[in-house]
Amino acid sequence: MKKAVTIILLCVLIPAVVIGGAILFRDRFYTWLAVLVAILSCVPFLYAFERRDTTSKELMVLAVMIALSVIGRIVFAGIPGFKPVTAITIIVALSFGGEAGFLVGSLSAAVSNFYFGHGPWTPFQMFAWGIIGLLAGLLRKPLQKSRILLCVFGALAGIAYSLTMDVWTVLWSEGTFVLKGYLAAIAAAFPQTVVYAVSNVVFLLLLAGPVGKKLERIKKKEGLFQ
Amino acid sequence: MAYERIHPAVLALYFLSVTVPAMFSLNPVFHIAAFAGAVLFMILTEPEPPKARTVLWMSVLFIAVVIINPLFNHRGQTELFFLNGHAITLESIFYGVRNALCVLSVLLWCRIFNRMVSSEKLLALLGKHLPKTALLISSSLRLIPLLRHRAEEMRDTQKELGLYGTGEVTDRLAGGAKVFSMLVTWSLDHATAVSASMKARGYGLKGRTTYSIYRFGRRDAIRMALLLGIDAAILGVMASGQMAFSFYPVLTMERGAFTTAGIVLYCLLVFTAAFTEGKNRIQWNYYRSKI
Repeated sequence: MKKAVTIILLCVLIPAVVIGGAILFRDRFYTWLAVLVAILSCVPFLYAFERRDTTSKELMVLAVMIALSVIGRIVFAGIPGFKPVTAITIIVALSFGGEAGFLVGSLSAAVSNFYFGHGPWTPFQMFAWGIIGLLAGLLRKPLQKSRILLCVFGALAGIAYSLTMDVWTVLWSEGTFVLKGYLAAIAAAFPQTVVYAVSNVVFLLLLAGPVGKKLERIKKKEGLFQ
Repeated sequence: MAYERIHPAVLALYFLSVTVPAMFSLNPVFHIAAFAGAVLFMILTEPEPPKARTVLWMSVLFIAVVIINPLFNHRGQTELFFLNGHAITLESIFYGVRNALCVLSVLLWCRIFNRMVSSEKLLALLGKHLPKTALLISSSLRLIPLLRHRAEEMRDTQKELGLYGTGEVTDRLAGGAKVFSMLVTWSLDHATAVSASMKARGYGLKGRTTYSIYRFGRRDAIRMALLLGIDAAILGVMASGQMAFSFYPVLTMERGAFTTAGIVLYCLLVFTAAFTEGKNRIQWNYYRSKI
């Protein structure tokens, strides 16, 4: 019964919402679509997580990592763009895999916005940080071997995060995707992008070794995420 | 506040009913109404006037969004002047104002929503459909103050032991790193202890349900039905094209038999929050004056 409801939801409701939005919001259709895509792309991961057998230990360890990354964001709130969320997401993904990375990334965004303010940007942040965690999990073998590769990945993740949020900025303030406006937004956010990339590398260099070791230890000790 | 007694699902639907048309329609009537409703609500509920910094930040945002559009968009009939060989048109400036109003009103409504729907209420909503996700969010929300408190204790201990006390930058950084390292170790082991306790209390056993203190009562059902009816009417008018608005080449507002009805219904929706709040205040003052 529950499964049937989910399938109906996915097959009927989503196209209906998209097509309905296309009729209602013809002129700002792209903004509508972008918000929907950001929300809907988080849903399958969360549902997969709900259906899987997760032990309470795994749950609590993930909650701790989310809390730590949110505390990091709060502690460094004074420096715009300088936050350890991406780095912690990547480190979790390296030890616990892509799904854990997605959860820590996207839920860090959701939880930290209880402190920083929720808004229509929340799904975009959830999506961006979640995908970074997922990718780090998929690439965990090479990333674990080479520290240089890890730093490159961190820097790229910072740039990708910034570019994703710029898409959002343009769509929100312009209504349609104007390439010129997007380039202007990228230019305006350039210092921020640099800070993102640098802070990711700094936090990865500082934390990947020690925190990674602790995560590996608890994973082995408690038999988590097998 | 009256919102304490309303089911969070109704509040969430109300928030969506207000913000979705304001976010995605081009008709400035929606934005002006949404903006006015939000400002009125805030005046009535915020005990103190907003901080100068907030007002300044919002004005900067407003002006920035207004300016961006005419710089990149040269459509429109009424050319005001030329900048670098491109026409700056009246229509594109109006479109910029519309964008800014849209951005600001949605921002304000998000603030209102944050206040009306606390994290507990949001989790109660999620709990039914995504119980594990809701548990993850609520336990990390609990862990944040706990871990910060632990970190402070650890820092004090280190200081008491005479470590990292010189106040130099390198010393403070090393101390911070040490505290963070201990915090991670401690909190991971704390997590396993908590999960053992959860297991002992039967977490994850078959047939367990989630508890919610919010009951969906008869009044909530009435509110929900009213909201859905108004939403359907507004969306219907929008779908019929009678609320359409275009900025280029000249400002034109479509009009039809139901345009006024659509506007009135949306205003009703937007001002309901402020109205309920205002009514409560008057009642409160009235009862107090009798004491």
